[in-house]
Amino acid sequence: MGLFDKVLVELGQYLALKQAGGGLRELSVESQDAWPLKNSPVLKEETAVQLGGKGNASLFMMLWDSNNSGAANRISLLGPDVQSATPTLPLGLVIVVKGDFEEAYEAYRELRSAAYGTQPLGLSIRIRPDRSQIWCRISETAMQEGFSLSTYGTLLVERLKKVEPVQGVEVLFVTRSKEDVAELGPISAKAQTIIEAMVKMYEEMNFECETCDYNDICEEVVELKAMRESLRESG
Amino acid sequence: MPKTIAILGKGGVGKTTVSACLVKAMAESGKARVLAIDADPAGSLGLALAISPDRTVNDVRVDIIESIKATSTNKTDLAASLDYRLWEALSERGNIAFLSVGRPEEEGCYCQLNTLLREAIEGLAGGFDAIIIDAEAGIEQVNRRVMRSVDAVLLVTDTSLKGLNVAASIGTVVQEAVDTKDVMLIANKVRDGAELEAMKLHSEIKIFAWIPEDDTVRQFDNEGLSFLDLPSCPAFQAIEQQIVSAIFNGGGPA
Repeated sequence: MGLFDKVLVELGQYLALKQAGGGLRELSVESQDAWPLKNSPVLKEETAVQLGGKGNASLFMMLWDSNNSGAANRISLLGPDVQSATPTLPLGLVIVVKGDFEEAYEAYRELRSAAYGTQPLGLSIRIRPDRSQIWCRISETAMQEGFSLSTYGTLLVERLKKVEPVQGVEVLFVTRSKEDVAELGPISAKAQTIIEAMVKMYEEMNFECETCDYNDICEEVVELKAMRESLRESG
Repeated sequence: MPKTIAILGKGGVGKTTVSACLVKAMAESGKARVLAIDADPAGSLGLALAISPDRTVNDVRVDIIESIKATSTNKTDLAASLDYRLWEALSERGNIAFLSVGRPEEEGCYCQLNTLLREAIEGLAGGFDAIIIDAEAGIEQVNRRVMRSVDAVLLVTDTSLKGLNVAASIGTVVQEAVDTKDVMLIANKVRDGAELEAMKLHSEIKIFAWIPEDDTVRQFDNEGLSFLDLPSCPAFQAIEQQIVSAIFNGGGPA
């Protein structure tokens, strides 16, 4: 049983719907060794395309799938790629990593750190975890060099695969409409609640469940309950 | 590598005017990307540049404290959230980005948060060519809230004996408190060569550069005009030639 089993089912339903409706396509996962990584702020006047952020719909969600140990990587896109885009786009970025994560909290921290730290040169990417928001500016220079969402997706895949025990990574970009991004909202909210419950357990080590805001979700998600019991015993 | 300059001085010596002119000079020099940080609680650099921030670093800090109280979080997510919010707090004009630190902390001790905030500012600054920090007289505020090390500290003084003495005092504190390569005394609003010579006699610190009294600067100051629109005038030229040249282009002192 995995922490995000129910969330992954709902995500699968979302993808199936979008697939049936057309517009969901796969991008190539090619090695991006040549694209440098550097935390390089992109100012407004340098920006070719802005995704998410102020005034645009955005959503960032990262989950792991312990039941699916396949090593396949995939990058999917619903909507336009940045090369054919208008100057601003909504952005939903969903990452699902596959592997057997025994130390869930440690894995969570490493995966988050890896995702936040994947900063291609010529892009400014900022993620706000507490609101599941993402803000990305792509510079004119990066666009001229041929940057695409396939580039970013592949860099994410390569970086995340370096985290033990990740075996495969799936990345979904949603840029078609704010409605498409908004539909991910309830799925993300559920995942966020699970993550908050987990973080609270590990950071506070307080198991007074009767007064805890996350008691309901702990009862619902078997893995959380198991986590709680394990921490109680070791504490 | 970015160059970081902190400008200090007692109130009224023209520190903020010098800061604003430096921002302009750097921004125009080879189209460098400049990060201007107002670390003075009086918040006058924004006025001098005519850039009004919607949010300050202190606003970000207060928001984060509220969210920590509401929900547990870990350092990785907190750092990412700080980064995002700092970007939101930036105001931009062309190749200049402006960040206002805001009022000092009012309550509580959030040392880890302050450290994370400072690291976030340092991380942000790493992507710029020049960072100009307009600070109040106390360098410890810069150290604690903005950046641990700076490449140079400019001590601005006017021609008064009091100004020189205060600059010397600040200089002593700076030498002890902050990791910096250079501490430079800048004489501002100098009427003429004779006044400059008189200052040199009384100053404990060698005068690195001097800026002449300038009616155009006075007008801009009095009328609240943006120094980014300042035309070339003797004061601005002095800043370009004596300060920018020395610090950013490796030239020596005037």
